[in-house]
Amino acid sequence: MRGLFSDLQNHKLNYIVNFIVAFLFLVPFLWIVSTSFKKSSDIVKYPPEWIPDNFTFDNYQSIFTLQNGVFLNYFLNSAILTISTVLIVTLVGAFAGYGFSKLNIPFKNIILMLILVTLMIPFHGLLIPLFSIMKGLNLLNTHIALVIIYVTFQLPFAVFMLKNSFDALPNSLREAALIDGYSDIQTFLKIALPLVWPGLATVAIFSAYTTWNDFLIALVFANSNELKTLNVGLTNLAVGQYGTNWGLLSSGSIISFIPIILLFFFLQRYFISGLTSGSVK
Amino acid sequence: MGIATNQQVQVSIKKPVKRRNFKLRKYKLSHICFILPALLLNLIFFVYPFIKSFIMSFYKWPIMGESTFIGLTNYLNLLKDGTFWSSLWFTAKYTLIVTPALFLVGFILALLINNRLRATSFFRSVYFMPVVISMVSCSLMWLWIYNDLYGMLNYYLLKFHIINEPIVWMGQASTSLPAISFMITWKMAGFTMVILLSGLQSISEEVYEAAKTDGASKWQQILYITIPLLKPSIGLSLVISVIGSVLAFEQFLVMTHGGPSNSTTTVVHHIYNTSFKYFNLGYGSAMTFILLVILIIFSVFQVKMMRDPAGN
Amino acid sequence: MKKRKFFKTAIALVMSVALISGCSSEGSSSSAEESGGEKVIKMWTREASAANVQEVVDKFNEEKHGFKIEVTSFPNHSFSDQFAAGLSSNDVPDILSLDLILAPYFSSIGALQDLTDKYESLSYKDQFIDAMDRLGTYEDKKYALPFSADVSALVYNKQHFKEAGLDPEKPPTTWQEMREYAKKLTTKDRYGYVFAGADLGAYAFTFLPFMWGNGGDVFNDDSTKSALKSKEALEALQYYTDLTRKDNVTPEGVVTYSWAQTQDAFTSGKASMILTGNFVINTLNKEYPDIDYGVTLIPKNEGKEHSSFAGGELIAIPNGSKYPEEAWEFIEYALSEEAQIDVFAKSGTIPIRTDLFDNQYFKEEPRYQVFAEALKVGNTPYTTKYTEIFSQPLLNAMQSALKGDVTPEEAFKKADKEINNILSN
Repeated sequence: MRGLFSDLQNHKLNYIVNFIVAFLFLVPFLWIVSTSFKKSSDIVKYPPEWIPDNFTFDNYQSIFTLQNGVFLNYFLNSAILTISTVLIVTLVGAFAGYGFSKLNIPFKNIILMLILVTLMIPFHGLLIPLFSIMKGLNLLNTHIALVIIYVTFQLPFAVFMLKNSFDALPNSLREAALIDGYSDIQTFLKIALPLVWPGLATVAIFSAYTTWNDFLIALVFANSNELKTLNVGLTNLAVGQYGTNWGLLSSGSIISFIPIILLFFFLQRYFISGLTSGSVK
Repeated sequence: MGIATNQQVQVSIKKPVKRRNFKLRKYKLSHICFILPALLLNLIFFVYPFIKSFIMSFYKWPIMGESTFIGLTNYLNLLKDGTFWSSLWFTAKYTLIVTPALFLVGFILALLINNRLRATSFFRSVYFMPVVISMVSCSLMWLWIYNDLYGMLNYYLLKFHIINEPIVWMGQASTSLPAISFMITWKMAGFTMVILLSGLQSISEEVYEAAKTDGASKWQQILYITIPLLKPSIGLSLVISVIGSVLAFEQFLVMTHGGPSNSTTTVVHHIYNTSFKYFNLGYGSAMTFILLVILIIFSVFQVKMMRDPAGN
Repeated sequence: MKKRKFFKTAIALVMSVALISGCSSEGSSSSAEESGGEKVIKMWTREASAANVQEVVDKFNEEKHGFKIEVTSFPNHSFSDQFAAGLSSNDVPDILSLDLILAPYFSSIGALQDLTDKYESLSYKDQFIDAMDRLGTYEDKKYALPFSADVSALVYNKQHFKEAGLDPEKPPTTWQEMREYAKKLTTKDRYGYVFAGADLGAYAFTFLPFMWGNGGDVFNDDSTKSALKSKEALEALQYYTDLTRKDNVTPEGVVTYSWAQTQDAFTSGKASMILTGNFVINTLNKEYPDIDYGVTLIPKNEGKEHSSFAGGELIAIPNGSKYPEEAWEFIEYALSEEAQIDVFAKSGTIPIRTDLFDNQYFKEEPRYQVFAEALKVGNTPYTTKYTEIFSQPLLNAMQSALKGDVTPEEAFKKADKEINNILSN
């Protein structure tokens, strides 16, 4: 309710400004959309052509039929990985975030620091040791290895985001619940968790797009054809060493980004759910 | 230790808190269980490989065969490595441009969409859209837009007589750095927006009502209420964008290959080259460690800054 | 009510996680060693050649040799990351098809099996393209054999030639002609000559032939010292620098172009001549049928020789391969006439055996003949420190000279010192 223009009662102004900004954000997208409907000989035409002269669905057709429709397989792999990672990260992150925020944990600050440091390391610096660990656990070329690594490296954000959210809840809430005879786990699940939907939604979105878009980890740790993810697979199909197939890259990018943007569209109501419940006092 | 301060910020804003368990001096196992999954994952898949990597930094470590202990040689070589320091300096410049840009744009976007108007959910999604495309595809697309021969940007700049000669955007760091920073701001501001938005949601309406009755203007409200109360979220978003910028790699790999003449090589790019192109893993580990130390110092400093009650 | 619902949801979430991880682990078991009781031989390759390799493998698998080859491909730049990670944990494929330029290094660290005896047994071993054959040799032993070839040549737009009043059937053959033509071809919105100057592989592919043809080289004969200070080497850089800085027939942005951008510049009609490889023909014929183009050897300095970069893939068996015998069986097949002509030549890749240059596909598309010619004069730098040298001193030297930051002499003088430093380490 505290938007830039809301208390001026000036919705029109808000719309106008949003409209202009949104347009600026959309221009590169319109270009991708336009490219995805062009024949390859028209794509790099100069001057640029916004409305395709020879409108074609070929790029969409070929992205699904190339190499016996392997794209769908990539899509499924990414979906499985993303769903598993999002659920685990959100769950583990919520527990830890609550623990760090409200509970008495030994060496709390040291552990928090360790978790934050995970965010600060260039992944290439750990690649060789991690690879040998995964080899030791016999997890190379499995989705499990990917999920484990994604979760580990997304946890810092999840933990801190959710710790912030739980910090915003007054401690009296927990005390009252404990007096009412709730256990800690009950307090967490039944009282605290439902109040941090915005945080949970943010973590879920973060985790979803990070996992969905990952290139490096998926490439190194699960490279066999049946395990390839969408991003790795799309690059494989459309980006050659010597030339980029813009048509395929555009259509593939558009298809691959739809699920995540839909997820965002539906999750976003939780970002503002705090407003309605109004229970945070 | 850095993060405890976040909590203290929060605590100092809320009413004073009794620490119920503190008296017991005994930790409850059930409490520890809350963080145990996160801790175990961290220890096995981050701390352990990190220690291994740290040990590697004292060795001449080829990808195959025997490695030899060489003490601090890698770290001493690092002092003389001109490319490392110039890449560090370049990364610092990039971070100094991108972090404020992301914060500013993200904050404005968050304010623009922090309302319940029906169309806002559309705008919110639009601002988030760039976050969702993969970095590789995004970089390739923008490289095309920026191309000096057949790119769209030069075409329109020439057409509207803003420039007379095509600009070779990727031709030197002085133009490629702003160009890539612009792309990243476009791509990632939506993410900062979401973090800040979730922070905005936890500020109670009553605070604003009270300020309004006191006659505070909209800008005063933002400056004296929103920003101070938003500190934990601002802190998180800044830490994330600083770390993200310092670790930047893919966009430069795709768009400039670190060139021309290494002028746009980031630290991580240099580490990557050293470890996986020149196969000098020990030296790569040493650089990774130094970069980590720098980042830790920065983050602690940043969190401390956030605790400083400048706004009050 | 609401709380209970939430609790249920949480349980449902946990269960679905367990379920999904279960599913995904099941999915992964199909990639295990044995599938359907048949032995699986793993092979790695670069994406650039993946389509061809897959076709060869499919043909091979159809013949039922009692085992199956399974191909995994990697983007070009991450191939060495992947192999390095694999080597460090002893998790390597059974067959490796690798960028020839990396073979000396991997041979030198003992990553590849000695194939000398097997090589000697091949009846066509003398037919291998010399430059490629040399890259698979380390200390007189054979560790990798030629598998598929890439080679560079000049591709030009015939339509542009006509517009500039040049004979489209008479492409430039000398530096001097090329320069003169490029000047005529360059207009307000078009450049005469474009190449990929940002990518180390691309620039080696397109610039080094000028140096070699002129009698210069990066290294001395046994690759122990830099040879950049020679007059011949310098002339080549001077020539390139002049094209950009003096004649303005090459865009200044060329030092930022990747392969893809060079190709886009050509297909968008912004470049009249580009230096590229045989792989471009397939793309141009398939995707851009409207472009009328020709191919010619890389121009030579007057009185000197033509040259070209002989690139491509070598095939090897890593140490640690579980099935070296089966791997060799496949390699023999991959080098056979059947694979080299019916797959490689058919798709526009030059066979690695000179006795196979004369084939039906090359007769149908005479432009391939030019590439085959180019391969005969092809050269390849031999060093175990390829990336370190080419991505740093040499690329930097060229870029700074083309950008006008330093003179070609200064650029090569600096690179010369740096290369000697790297080589002596």
